[in-house]
Amino acid sequence: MSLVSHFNGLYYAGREKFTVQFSVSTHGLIEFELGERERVAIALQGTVLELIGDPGVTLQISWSGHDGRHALLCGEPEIFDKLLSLNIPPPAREHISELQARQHGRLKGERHRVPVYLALIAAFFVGAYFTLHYSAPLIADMIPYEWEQKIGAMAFENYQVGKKTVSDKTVTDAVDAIIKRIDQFDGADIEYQVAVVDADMINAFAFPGGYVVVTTGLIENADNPEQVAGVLAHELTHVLQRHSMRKLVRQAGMGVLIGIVFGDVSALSQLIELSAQLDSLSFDRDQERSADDGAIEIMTAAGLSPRHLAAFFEKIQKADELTGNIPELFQTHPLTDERSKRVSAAAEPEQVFQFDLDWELVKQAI
Amino acid sequence: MKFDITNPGAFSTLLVNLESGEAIKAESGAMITMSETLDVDSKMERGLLGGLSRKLLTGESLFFQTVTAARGPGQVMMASAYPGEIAVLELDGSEEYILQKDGFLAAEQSVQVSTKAQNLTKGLFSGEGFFVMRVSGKGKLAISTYGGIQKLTLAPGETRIIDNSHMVAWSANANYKIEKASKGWISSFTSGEGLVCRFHGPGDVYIQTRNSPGFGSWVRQFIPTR
Repeated sequence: MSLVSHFNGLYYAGREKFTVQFSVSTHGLIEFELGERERVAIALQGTVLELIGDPGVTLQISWSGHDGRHALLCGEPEIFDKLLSLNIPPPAREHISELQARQHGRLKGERHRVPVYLALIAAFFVGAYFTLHYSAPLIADMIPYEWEQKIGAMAFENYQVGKKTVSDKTVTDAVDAIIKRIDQFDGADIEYQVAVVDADMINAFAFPGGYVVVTTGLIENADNPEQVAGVLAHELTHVLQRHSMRKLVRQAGMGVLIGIVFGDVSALSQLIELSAQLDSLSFDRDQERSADDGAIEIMTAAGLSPRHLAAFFEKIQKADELTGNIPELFQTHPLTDERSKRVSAAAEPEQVFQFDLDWELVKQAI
Repeated sequence: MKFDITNPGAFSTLLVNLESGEAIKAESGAMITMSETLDVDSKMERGLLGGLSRKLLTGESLFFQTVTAARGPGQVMMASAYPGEIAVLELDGSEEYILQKDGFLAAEQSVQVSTKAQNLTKGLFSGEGFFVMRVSGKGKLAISTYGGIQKLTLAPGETRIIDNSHMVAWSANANYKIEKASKGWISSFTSGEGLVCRFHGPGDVYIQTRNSPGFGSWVRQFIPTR
């Protein structure tokens, strides 16, 4: 076996660094030239051998001089064969073989590290996704109601920035009357706060903590206050069942995980940023179904026929087909035939309640 | 090929003079201005998988920009997206460097850039994430920092403590360990330092005098919450 006799290395004399080419003699003398004149020769016996660096594959041969620590670094694996070919005492030989084996293992491990990590990360995220998916309701339920209210208040305020709210008493009183009726029959102790936002889009949503937004578009497109009540009962059920909090926990949890893996600490502030998008969070199918059920329950209890909600669904759907665009309300709450059918199949209330409102007057006030 | 740093200071720029036929690779979007004899091209360094892993893992862009002096000599000026200094490292093949994500600005074509996975502790706590860049080969390498750049040279056996997220580039020979800043866990965190990195010499470590997460949280207090 022919052995390489010259190796490339980095020589450190204290903080000074030199690129050198060194040789190892059969007597265990390491020699190299430093610049034009100086020649360094050091006996292997007086040195310390170790593997350094990340991932620990560089051989460091270090010794102490009168002027501090010196080190010769070499990353070439062949150096070990050369050292083992020397006539050296068994303990030193053992140490060198051990270093060689360790270097070999690390070099091999390094090659596979990125793909292995990728696979692990993929598995981790899939696992985390499902864990979050199933634990989000539990985590969300652990969040104190005051926090939820604060997040909701923040989102509610944020949402209103730059938007015009309607302050005409005819309109606000009408909406308040609708909310009040629902409030009496929702079986929960939440104080609702409502803002009517001047926007053409047909939309209504409720932030956590009972902050409700109704657009003028919704009022203008509803045939009667009962239809608005239906939509609001649906929205409020989302709040009562903490759907948006669950969604938030799920998304923020994922954001935090992504941040940890990719080294982005700012992900921890995601919860706050996400809360600003609460109005555009869409719910999943199960949540929609249970919000519909909740709406039916509230409406029936409040003496409002669920048929009004079904009629509104139908009306909007027809308008959709004419214009071809999906109103905001259904972008975040996908409307399916199944949903319409369930709502229209709901039982009628025993005692019918009617709002004492002149709906045309309310619409004109906008 | 010549690498010069122009506009030194917070908004420094890198000016590269290319001889006819020479080419450099740079972070995509880094080009500010160039001679009309140069061509800018995008290339996926190390193929699709290499590019993808760089994009997904280190946060660097999928494509590297290649600037080639196709029709004669010329010059190109480049800078990174954030304020800070630029340093030029001369790689002679004897040493590899590890670069924090978004530390890469430009390099000669003979310099290779690949993705390197850090171990679990470093991935979680170094503030650099699980994946960093490994730079090897011969040639000039320009790195960009947030804030000023400071080179620390460690002698053999010397150790140095550096706050995490202040490292920009370090020689692969200089390994580091994550440890708590003070003796106790509580004082580590109440001192505001938390975790730090202890580097073991020999090797060079380039650090940035400011860190972007720190700046981010400082700025956040002035942003009205509305």
